[in-house]
Amino acid sequence: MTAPDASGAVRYVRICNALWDMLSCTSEGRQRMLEALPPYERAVLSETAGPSVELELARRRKTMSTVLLRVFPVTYFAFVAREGADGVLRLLESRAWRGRRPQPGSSFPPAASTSEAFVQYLDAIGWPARQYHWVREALAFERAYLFGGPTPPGRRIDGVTVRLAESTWVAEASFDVPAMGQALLEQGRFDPWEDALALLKPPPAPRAVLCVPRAGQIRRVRLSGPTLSALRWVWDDAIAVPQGALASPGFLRMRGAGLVQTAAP
Amino acid sequence: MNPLDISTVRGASYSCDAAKGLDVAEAVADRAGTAATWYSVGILNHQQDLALLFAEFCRRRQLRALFHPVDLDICGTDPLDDDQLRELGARAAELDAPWLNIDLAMWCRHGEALLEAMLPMPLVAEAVAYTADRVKHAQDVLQRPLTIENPPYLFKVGDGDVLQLMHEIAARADCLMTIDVGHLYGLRRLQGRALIQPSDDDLDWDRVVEVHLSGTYDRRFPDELVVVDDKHDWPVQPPVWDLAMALLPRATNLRAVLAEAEGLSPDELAASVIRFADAFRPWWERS
Repeated sequence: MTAPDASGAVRYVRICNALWDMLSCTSEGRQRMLEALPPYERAVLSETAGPSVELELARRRKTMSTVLLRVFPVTYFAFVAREGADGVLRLLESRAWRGRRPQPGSSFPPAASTSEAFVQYLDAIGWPARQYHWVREALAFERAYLFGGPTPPGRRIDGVTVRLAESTWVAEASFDVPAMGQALLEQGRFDPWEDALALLKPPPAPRAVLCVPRAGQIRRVRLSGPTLSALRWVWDDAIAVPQGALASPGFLRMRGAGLVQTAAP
Repeated sequence: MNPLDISTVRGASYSCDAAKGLDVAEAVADRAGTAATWYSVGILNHQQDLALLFAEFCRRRQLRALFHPVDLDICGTDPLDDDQLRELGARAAELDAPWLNIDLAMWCRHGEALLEAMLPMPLVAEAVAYTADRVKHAQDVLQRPLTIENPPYLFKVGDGDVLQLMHEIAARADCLMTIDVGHLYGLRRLQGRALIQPSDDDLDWDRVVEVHLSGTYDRRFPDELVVVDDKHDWPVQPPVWDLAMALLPRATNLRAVLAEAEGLSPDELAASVIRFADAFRPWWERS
C-alpha cells in the first residue's frame, strides 16, 4: 500500500474523527471540539452545522435508544424522561461511552458494551440516587439481570446446607419490570414521558429471575406468585424457612432441575 | 486486472432486504420477467449463508449478482483489515459478482459495522489520496474491481464536488464508479448548487458501470433548507428521474441500473424494474 501524503492523511483522519464525535455531542461539546482543532479542520467542520446536523443528531440518538430501550426498558425510559434529548447527547459524549470497549465484528452500537457504558455513566453522574424508589429498584433488577451478582450464601436447615447452584445469581424486584417498561411506553404515547414516569404506579407483583451460567450461556428461570413465595427462603435469609420446606413440591422441582444444591454436614 | 475491461451484460437490477427479502425477490422475478437482468446483494463479510442463498436464487432466476458489501470500510479511519477483505472476496466469488460496489463512507469504526450510522466521506481534497490508496489496496487483496459510489449526505462536510472527488479517486486507484442519482440530487440541493454542473462533463464516464435510483423524501426546514433523504419504500421521484435522464447518456459503459427499493411491494418494485429496463434499453441497443 503506497504511503499517502502524511499531512493530508493526518488532516483527513482528524476531520473524520472529529466529525464522528461531533455527531454525538451537545452544542457546548461541539464548541469545545471546534476550538481544540487546528484551523483548517476547524474551518471545514464549522460549516457542519444547522438543522441538517440536528437531524443527524436525532438519528444517532435513535440508534442508541433502540438498543438501550430494549435492554433497560424502565431505566432508559426514565433516563430520557428526566434528561431529555440533550441528556442522551451528554451520555454520548461521556468518557464512559467514548471509552467503552470496542466489539469488533459486531454492529454498532453493540448491546453489551453499550449497556456497560450506560450504567457506568449513570453511576458517574450519580443518577440513580435522584430517581423514584421504584426506578432505582428497576435499575437494580435490570443491572443484575444483565451483569450478574454474587451467589447468595447457603442456609442450614434440618442439618442440611441448601444453596443455589454454583455461580447462580438472582435478579428480583417487587414488580414486573419488563411489563412496567411496556406500560411506560403505552402511557408515553399520550403523556410527556416525564409525566408518564411520575404518574404510573407499579402494581405489586414480585418477580425473581435465577440466572444460572452453564456451558458459556446463561439459563434464566423466572419465578413469580406462590412459587416465588414458597422458594424465596432459599436465597433470602430474611425469610423464615417454612415448615417442611425441603419436602415441598416446589423445592423438589427446583432441586431436580439443578437450580439448588443440598449438602449434608 | 483491468477494471475497464468490462465484458458483462447490461440491464436493470433490483435489491431487497438481504436478511428477509427472498420472498419479495422471488415475487419480483416472477413479475418483472426478462426486464430484470441483475440482482444486488447487500451483506456483511461473514454472511456466507446469505451469499450462497442469493447466489442460488440468481442462478435459478437467470439473474447476474451485484455485490454491495455493507462493511467495506473504504473511507474510515480503521486500518483496512486484509482478513475481512479476503472474506469479502470469497463472498464476491460465491456470488460471481463482477465487482464490489461501495459507498465512499466510513463503514466501520473500531471494527464495529456502522450499518445505521455510516459516515460519508468528507468532501475535502485530502480525501482523494487517502481513499485512493485504500481502494487500490482493497482491489489488490480482493482481486476484483471496486466501484465507488457517491454516498448520501444529510449534512455538509467540506464543500468539494462529490463527482470531481470521485473522478480523482477513480483515476488514481484505477477503479470503477457508481452514481447514486438520488444521493447526488440531495447533495447538490443541500449545497445550494445547480443539479448539473459544468464539471460533470469532465467526469470519466467510461468508468461508470452502475447507477442507483431510489425514492427520496424532501425534509423541509423552516429556513427554506431542504434535506433530501433516501426513501427506499417510495418510487423514484420525478426530479431524480429527470436528473438521471440528463446525466446518464454520457455513461456509455453503464451495465446496471439498480432500483434500490427495500420496502416496496413486489408489484411496485417490478414496475420500477420494468420502467428502468424500458428507459435504458434503447441506449444500450445503440451502444
